[in-house]
Amino acid sequence: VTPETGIRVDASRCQGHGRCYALAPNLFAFDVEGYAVVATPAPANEADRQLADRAVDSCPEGAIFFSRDSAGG
Amino acid sequence: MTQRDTTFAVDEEFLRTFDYESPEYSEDPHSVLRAVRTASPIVRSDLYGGYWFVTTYAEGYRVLADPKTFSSSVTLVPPPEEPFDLIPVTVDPPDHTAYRKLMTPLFSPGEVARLEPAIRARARALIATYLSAGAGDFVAEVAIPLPSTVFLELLGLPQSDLPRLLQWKEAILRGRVAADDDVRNHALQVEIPGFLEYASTIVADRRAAPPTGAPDVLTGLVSGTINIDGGRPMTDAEIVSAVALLVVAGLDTVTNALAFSMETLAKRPDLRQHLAENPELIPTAVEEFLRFWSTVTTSRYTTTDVEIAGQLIKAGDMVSISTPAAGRDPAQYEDPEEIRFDRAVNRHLAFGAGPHRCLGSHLARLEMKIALEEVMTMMPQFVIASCAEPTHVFGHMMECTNLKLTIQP
Repeated sequence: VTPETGIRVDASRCQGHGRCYALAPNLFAFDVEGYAVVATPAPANEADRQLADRAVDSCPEGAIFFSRDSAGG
Repeated sequence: MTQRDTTFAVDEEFLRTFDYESPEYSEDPHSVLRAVRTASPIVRSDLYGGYWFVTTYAEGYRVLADPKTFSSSVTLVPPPEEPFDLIPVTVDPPDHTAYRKLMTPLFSPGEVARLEPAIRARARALIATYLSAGAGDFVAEVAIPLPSTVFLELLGLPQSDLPRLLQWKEAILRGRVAADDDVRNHALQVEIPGFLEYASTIVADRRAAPPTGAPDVLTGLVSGTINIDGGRPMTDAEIVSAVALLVVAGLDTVTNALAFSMETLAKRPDLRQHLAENPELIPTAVEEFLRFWSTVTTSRYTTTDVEIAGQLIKAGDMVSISTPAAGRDPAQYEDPEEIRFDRAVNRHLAFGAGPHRCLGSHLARLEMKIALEEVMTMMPQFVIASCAEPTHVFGHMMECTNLKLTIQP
């Protein structure tokens, strides 16, 4: 995964709301302090890519970024 | 977009003397909040020495997420006479960051998940007692004791401390600000010193003898190191303050969130039945109830001049953020007055935002999820008891104080 594509969490913005791993436990996990980490940087199918989009929209701190590569993944 | 007609009209004079402890507000807060929000995202009232009142999600988020401009050194309008500091609520970064770094892991999703069996057992026992007594007031019998029993589990304390804890909680949250002199004096001179002595004793006991079982929050506070003065353990006084915070912030908040959820379900058989038939919706239902019934109005102290929604907020001004109003902001939510368990995106400020975001949010969600799951299993059919309208207190907290239910066969 290049920096331009895939799922990314900005650790400096994450406040541990936990929306992302409640919404998409296959894509996100939490570290020992309860902050979000990416479990699956490159979602493999369209359903997971849509979940990633929802996680971006759901993060109250705007800490999640997801950009699809040119092939749509 | 549908918007319920407001029966409440506001004018300049109403806004200039806006008071979230007023009779209009305590009668029907959401009609008042809707009218105020329609007037402006942020209004200024001359009461309590003057303060700003924020009613939208976007502006509320902005204030909460900017601790440099909006300090937590004062978090209530008018400023209360606190009997103790509440670490880390009333502390700003960088010290706040040091306390949170120690405390946040103790309340992480993984840590609180370990409590699930204990919470479920407590919830079942309380509901069973409630049902065997022929139902009655769900608030007194289930919603109040549940978070307190969980508090005792969390701190590794015996459940036999529950009656004392409930008594101290009342004194800390209500007794010390009661209008009645005798009640207030009793809280300040007997109950609160009694609680502080109890808290000091449990801290000393834990330092002397770590528990043999799984580590609990109290052990974590006693044994951890905070990055202040080059790294040191928390002092006894700091831990007592943190324990007091757990009482102030973690008990009535869950009680009210659960009570309002139950009141809504009791009045909406369609929603209740939908949830009973689809219990996998309970987690998103919890989020929806948190949004719809956000209970806390918190405040911040402005440190430098700043503009919000075209208004100049001056250094020294207090700003109150109404999370109940933000939770029904039509700019943020489609049909905000509708309760929907399937909102794909449901950001809300029920737990605040930014660095002071609720430490216990994962625990609170878990308690609500388990309570609703057990309700749907053990007493899926319930309605408001006849001739027993629920009672509320609407002020800087939204409280549901009595909820008599009838269980249907």
